[in-house]
Amino acid sequence: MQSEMLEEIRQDAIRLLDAAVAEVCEMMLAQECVVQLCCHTTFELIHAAVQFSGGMKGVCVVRADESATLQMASTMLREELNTLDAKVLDVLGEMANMISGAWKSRLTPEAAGCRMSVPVVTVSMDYSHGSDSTDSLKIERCYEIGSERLHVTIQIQPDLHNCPDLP
Amino acid sequence: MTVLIVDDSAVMRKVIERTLRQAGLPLANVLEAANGMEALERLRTAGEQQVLVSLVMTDINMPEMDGLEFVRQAYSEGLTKDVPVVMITTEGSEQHVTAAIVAGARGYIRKPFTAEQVKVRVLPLVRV
Repeated sequence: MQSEMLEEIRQDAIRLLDAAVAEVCEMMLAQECVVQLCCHTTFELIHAAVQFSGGMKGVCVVRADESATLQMASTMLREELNTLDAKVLDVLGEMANMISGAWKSRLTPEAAGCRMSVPVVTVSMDYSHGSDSTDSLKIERCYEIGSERLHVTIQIQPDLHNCPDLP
Repeated sequence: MTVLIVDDSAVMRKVIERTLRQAGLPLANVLEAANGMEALERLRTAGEQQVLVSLVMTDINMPEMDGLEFVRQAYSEGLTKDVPVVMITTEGSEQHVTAAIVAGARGYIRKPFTAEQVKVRVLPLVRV
């Protein structure tokens, strides 16, 4: 019963995440994003993490490789960028911020009322976020934006004993 | 007109400025701040120099001093008595909107946003 409820919440979370990513890509990059079913993530170097606290606890991590991050930064800032500097990393942080916010705002009022941290951007070949807790809900999605890819992982602790955190 | 843009992201400050221009605001002077503390300083300095700030656009979620505290302090010091303050943030829940209005914000817009949304929600607040 609990696993069925968790799966239902997971599917809702995925649907809302797809809508959130599509909104951010369309409005900030003027590009459509296409969900990629194969989500292999060994080469992503840049991680931008936003933590949720309060009514819902968890983390949203947006990952992209150097090429994708430069492409997004060039599009958002409307200038040709070729170097992975603070300004470029800031763009991935803001993407994480907006995707987290757009996803959170689609949740129930209780969950949407949680607080978000400022984004933390890390450049690393091997960096893990969140926990290995078995009762947490983790979703991983991969999106194709133009010729580049963006990976989004959300891990939250849903409250299955009271009202669900998601619609 | 002079606008103060408050956001911890330099990228977002640039995007906000560009969007305000696209929406038709005649920006002659753009003041920037990376957090609430800096924003208070910008407003105090503008007051001392008799620079008329016509609009404040501020993020909520920032380090050092967040946007809500900035708006409260600016309001209590009389720095934004005749200046419309618009919160521009990813925090789009009803609680956040209410907190922003209680703190003294006149408007609220959620990231991501378009020039059209700025036209509808911000321009009516500004005396150009």
